[in-house]
Amino acid sequence: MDGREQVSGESDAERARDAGGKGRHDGAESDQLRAEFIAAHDRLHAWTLRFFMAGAGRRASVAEDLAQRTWSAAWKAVSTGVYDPARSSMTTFVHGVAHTIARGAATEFARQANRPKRGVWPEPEGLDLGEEAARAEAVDQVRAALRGDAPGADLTEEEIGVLQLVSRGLGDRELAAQLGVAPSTANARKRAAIQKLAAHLNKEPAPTRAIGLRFADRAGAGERAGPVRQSLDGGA
Amino acid sequence: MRTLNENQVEALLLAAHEVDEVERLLAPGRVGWSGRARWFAAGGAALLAASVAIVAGAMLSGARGVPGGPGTQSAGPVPTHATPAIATAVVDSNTGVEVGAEGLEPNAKVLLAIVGHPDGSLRCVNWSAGVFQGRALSEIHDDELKSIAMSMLCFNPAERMLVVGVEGPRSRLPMTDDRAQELARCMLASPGCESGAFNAGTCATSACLTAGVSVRVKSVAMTP
Repeated sequence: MDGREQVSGESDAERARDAGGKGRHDGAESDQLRAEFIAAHDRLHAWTLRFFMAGAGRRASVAEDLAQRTWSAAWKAVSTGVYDPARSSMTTFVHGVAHTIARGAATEFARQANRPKRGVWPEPEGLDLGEEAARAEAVDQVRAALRGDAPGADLTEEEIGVLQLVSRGLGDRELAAQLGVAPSTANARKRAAIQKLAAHLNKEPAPTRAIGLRFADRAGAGERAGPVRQSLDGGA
Repeated sequence: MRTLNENQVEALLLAAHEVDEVERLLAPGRVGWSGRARWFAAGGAALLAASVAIVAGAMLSGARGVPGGPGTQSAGPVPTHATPAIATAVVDSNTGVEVGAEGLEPNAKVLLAIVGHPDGSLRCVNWSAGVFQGRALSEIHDDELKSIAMSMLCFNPAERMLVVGVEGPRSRLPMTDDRAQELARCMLASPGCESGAFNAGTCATSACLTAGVSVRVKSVAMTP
């Protein structure tokens, strides 16, 4: 401050340009990943904003910050190799990360309700990128099964139809109405189809990491709340 | 071998459907207003519980004047279908006032003046998004960059200040106090950014920033 400050180093603007980050990937692979990531960001960023806008009561600044956190986490996972875009779609991965971050934010705000502090955004609670990557792989396997594109699952068309209805959140009564059968029959068909799908998923090679207990701990018997909906209930 | 039970598979089914809905939304020309409205309705219901808590926190932040008040218009990358512009705000942490036209630029700039403890941990950081109006980061002369950073010094006497200029899409820039602190901590801990072994090229390519941004770093050593 007294005029004797000394610049001990500085970057060449050209060399330093576009320095997104380097993890386990180097050279051309890193450039390719970066390009793919940017393309995914450009494609999905508007969705992440809308998603958080809906959850943040249309507070754009909050939504933007959460979206930024989502993409920062996604890039960290990509650049460090925790998430492999070849194993599951970026949409699926970002979708999961966004929900986890929304859940963490809701939990933290509930916690801070009576003792607010400056520095609104804590680190995303419960965000395990390895777990997110594993979940994305599993979700994509289920998506393939719902499209009838999982020959190993040996699902009949009727079973795929039942699973599609279940994926839309239909309960037993709604399912029964759709199938034209009694609720107990609908429940039996649903369970049979789910068990068949579970058997298929369980015989598939395990993803990069075992799916965490998040699902098991929270999905109680008979409840329809999935990871996404649960994540938006304020955690816990 | 993983072992998924029925509840876990049902949870995966719900997630799979939601992802498919997102993909449908993103597919050009496949979803009209009615489809979007349904999605918003579903999303709104699902997010209701979270929104209460989030809004409460956001109101707390807004009341104290931290970044996040009402302000300029901006939006992320324009999707393939029309989306309402998203109102957002950027408040300069130094002046406490909203950033003006800067927020409208597709490529925004942020300058951070970072002061660390001798052990490399973060002491404080000031950031500003209201600098370099109308000019690219690469057009800023080194002396001007240093001069501006000096005016942002957050702790005096500081032995050294790390100056980080970042330019890129707003969503990828650290434009809140917490994001600036997060980046500052990361930079201070990154190879090449250390006080005694500063290397601008190495420091600038640290993995602290998301992809698609330009960065300039300077280490300013100050002796009494």
